[in-house]
Order: sequence, then structure tokens, then C-alpha cells
Amino acid sequence: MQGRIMRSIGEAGGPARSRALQRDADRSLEVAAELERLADEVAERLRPVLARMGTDVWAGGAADRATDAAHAARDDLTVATTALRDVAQDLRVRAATLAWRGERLAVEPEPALTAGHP
Amino acid sequence: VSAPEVVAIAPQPAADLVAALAAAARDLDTDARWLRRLLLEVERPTAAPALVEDVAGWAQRLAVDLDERIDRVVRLDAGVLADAAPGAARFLDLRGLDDLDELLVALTALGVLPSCPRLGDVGARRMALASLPPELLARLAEQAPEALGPGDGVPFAARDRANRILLRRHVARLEARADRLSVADRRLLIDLRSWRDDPDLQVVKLDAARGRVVLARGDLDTASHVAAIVPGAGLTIHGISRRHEAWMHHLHDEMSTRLTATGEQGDPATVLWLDYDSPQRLVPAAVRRDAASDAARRLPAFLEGVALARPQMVTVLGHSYGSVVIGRSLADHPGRLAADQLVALGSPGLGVQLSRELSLRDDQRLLAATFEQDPITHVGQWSPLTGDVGRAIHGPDPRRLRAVEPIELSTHDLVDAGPLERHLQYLDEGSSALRLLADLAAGAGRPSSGG
Repeated sequence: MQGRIMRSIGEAGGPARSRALQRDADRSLEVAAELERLADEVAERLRPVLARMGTDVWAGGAADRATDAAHAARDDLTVATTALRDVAQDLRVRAATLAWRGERLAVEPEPALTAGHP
Repeated sequence: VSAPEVVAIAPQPAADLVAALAAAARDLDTDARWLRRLLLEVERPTAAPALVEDVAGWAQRLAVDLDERIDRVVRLDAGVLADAAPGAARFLDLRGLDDLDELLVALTALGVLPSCPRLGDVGARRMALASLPPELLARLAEQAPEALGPGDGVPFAARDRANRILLRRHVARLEARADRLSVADRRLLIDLRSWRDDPDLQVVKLDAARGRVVLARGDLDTASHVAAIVPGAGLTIHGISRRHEAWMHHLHDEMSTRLTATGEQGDPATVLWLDYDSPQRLVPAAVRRDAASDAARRLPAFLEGVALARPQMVTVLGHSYGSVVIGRSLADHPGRLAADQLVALGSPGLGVQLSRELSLRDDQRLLAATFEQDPITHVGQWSPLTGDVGRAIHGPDPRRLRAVEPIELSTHDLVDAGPLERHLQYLDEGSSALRLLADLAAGAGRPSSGG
């Protein structure tokens, strides 16, 4: 599975390559959507928990320390979700590019790829 | 991220939080593994999965730690607060809590107090803590003695209970190295044991590390007449002189005699208030006002706590540098010194130059008494011809201030054993000065002369 999309580009030829490009474009879109969904979920996993930190469990100085620790965790998750959304955005751009190339190959087969056919 | 120290736990919300944390940790871990696969598939490795794994690990550790704490607290303290707050089974783990305001926040968070008193407000603290069942207050004093012991506004019985715990701990620490104690610590150990074994004392404050102690003879929660002695230079908890401690006892006994003789209802309580860094040398420390100004930040709060127990009369006697403390308290905190009578004994001055700096309330009396043979009279030099007070270190002799009522003391029983001795006989046992001052503190009205 690793690197499947990247390796598929340029390996196939003609209609086969066009289909491969379209499949990779579709998969890129799927992965992008999955990453965005996970980014949302990850960000939400602790939100209701963090909201309770330092209120009904800890008090006084301990509450401050618990809140600080929760803030640090929330910061980590923010960095992670931002990175995931960046990758998802990158994949959507890639998917659009692959789809465009696939469509072009479908209507205008590259000469080199059709040579030798009757 | 290490889990924070839990000082107060409400079991059900805490258990819910543990479950939520554990579930979030599991989900985040699954998310991280799936993310790693997806990112490898598209050849976009980022740090995101590692960060998510870190957070998952933190949540998991927090859940385990919290679960252990809940278990420990429930096992140790079951029932104590359930009795105090029926219908809301809640438990406390207050060990290590050393700040009274934090304690009040914790009690409020747990629903033991209906609302959090304004932090630092002595009266609000008293009202809140007095509303608790006595057995709960006693338990809190045992769990958090560092928080309750020094807390102005805490009922004095609870303070005594808390401070005696601190006292016993300090005795144990000193006894553990008894064979290599300094002279000062050996002396302190003797004093601490003496206070520990005296059931008539209330230990109102004990801060051995900072050299401060406040002792009371009698019960400050119920006394009708309270007299607090603010001693002067040269004392610390390591050097409470037998004489100063004896003054507290002599004054108590004389006041008691007086109250009995006059048929007054009520009992006296006397205090030795050494909650400040008494200057340890006459020069330069005792000629400066720093220590008095610092003490003036704490004396009003202590007296406010005393006044909240509603005694009929509160008298503060400042001896020597202790009278500078009184003067600076009046000057720096106008209207906040909750005492009916303030008496300067053997005063080098009140730390003010003019009467108007003293901000006395209309119902407040300020009196001063000095043996003419006391060498302290040379400190408050004042020229009746020029009004020159320039040489006076702590201001003029308070007896010459307009706001001050001078008291004449009989000197016929003064023991002349040197200059220092003439400065130290104001509250000695059997003296006419002691009787006069005890009469005053017991509400005998304005004294005109001693003897």
C-alpha cells in the first residue's frame, strides 16, 4: 500500500494510465477526507474532558496545574490537527491535478502510448 | 506531562472524568495508528501521529493517576464529609494544602461551603468556617494544619488544634537530632515541650522556620476581656524570654482576679503576640521602623480575628519596640486596629511625629506608661522649649502626644537592678504596675495612678 499512488503515476500507459490517474485522484480525495475527519475527531476527543479540568475535580493551585497540563495537551492536538489539514489540502490539490491529467489522456491519448496499435 | 497533585476530589465527577480520559486515550491511540498508515500511503509523513500519541499517553497516565487518588481518598476519608454534606457524598484529601484561601476554594468546589468567601477577608473566613460542624473543622485542622494554624478568622480552638500538630512535628524533628542541636534549638525544644504540655495555652500561631509564635492563655473564642502583649526587641521563637511568657500568665491571673472581684461575667484571655521579626539588635535594627511596619501588616488581621469572637473589651499592650508596632499599625492602617484600648509601655516613641498620624477611632483609647527611671525615656527626647523632636528616633515620648492619655505608674516597688531591669518590670508578678494594667484591661475604666 505504501507509496501506491505515487508509484502508479507514469507506470501505466494510455487508457490504463488514465484510469490509474483517476483512481489515484479518487484515493487522494478519500485520504484527504479521512484526514480531515480524523483531524476533527482528534481535536474533539479531549475537548469535553479538558473543559472539566480544574473545575469539579481539582481546586486551588492544583486546579491551575491541571489546567496548565490540559492546555499543553490541547496545544499538541492543535499542532497535530493543523498538520493533518495541511496534508489533506495538499492531497486535494494533487487529486485535482491527477484527475485533470487522467481526463486529458482519456480524450487525447499520448501518441507514444498508442504507437503500434492498428 | 506529569499529572498534577490533587488536593480535593469529588468522587463521582472524578470517576466520570477518569472514564472519559481513558476512553479519549484509547481513541486517540487508535487515531494515531490509523493516521500513520494513511500518511505513509500518501507519502506525507508528518509529526501529527506522534503528537496524537503523546496526548493519548498523557490522558492515559492522568486517568490512572486520578483513579489511584480517588481510591486512596475514598478509603481514607469515607464518611467524614458525607456527614457534613448529606445528599452529596464527597470526600477530601487536603494533606499538603498549606493555604487557607485554597482550602476555602476546595471546600466550595466540593459543595461543603455554599459559596466561596471573599479571599483574604478575615470576617468572611470566620463566618464560613464557623458554619461547619465542629467535628469537621477539627478534622480539617488535622488534615491541613499549615492552612488553618496561622489563619486569621479561623476559630481559635481549630487554630490551636492545628498548631499543636505543627508543634508536635517540630518537637519530633528536634528530638530526632537531639544530640547535635544548637543552643538556640535546645532552648526552643524546651519551650515547645512546655507549650505542648500546657492545656491552658492556646497556640495561636507557630512558624518556627520564621521564628514567629503567638500564644494565648485562656480561650480566645469565649473570653470576655482580651489583652494582647506585643513584645519589643530581642525576641524570637528561639528566645522567648521566660519573663515575657510569664507576663502573659501574670496579666491573665490579675485580670481574672479583677473580674471575679467586680462580679463581672466572663473570663480573660491574654496573648503574647510575636508574629513579627523583632529587631535582634538595638543598633541598627531597633532604631529602624522596618520591622514595625512589617508587623503592622499582620497585627490588624489578628485583632480582627479576635474581635470576631465578640469579646467585651480588647486591649493591646506594646512594650518597648512593640509600641512602635502599635503606632505604625494605627498610622499605616487607619481604622483597622480592632482594639478598645492601646497601651504603650516603656515606649521609645510610636513611630510617628504627630498625634494626627495615629488615626484613632472615636471610641478608641491610646495610653502610655513609662517608669521615669526607665532608660527608654532618653530615646524619645523632646524639647518642651523648642518642640524639637529631631533627635527622637521613633518620634517623641508618646506621653507628650495630644492623642495619648498618660498613665502614672507607681515606682515604689520597682527593683533597681540596672538600666535594662528598669525597662522590663512593667508586668512583673506582684507589681503595682501589673495590677493597674490588669485593671485597665479588665475594664476598670481610666486609671489615674498606680500603687
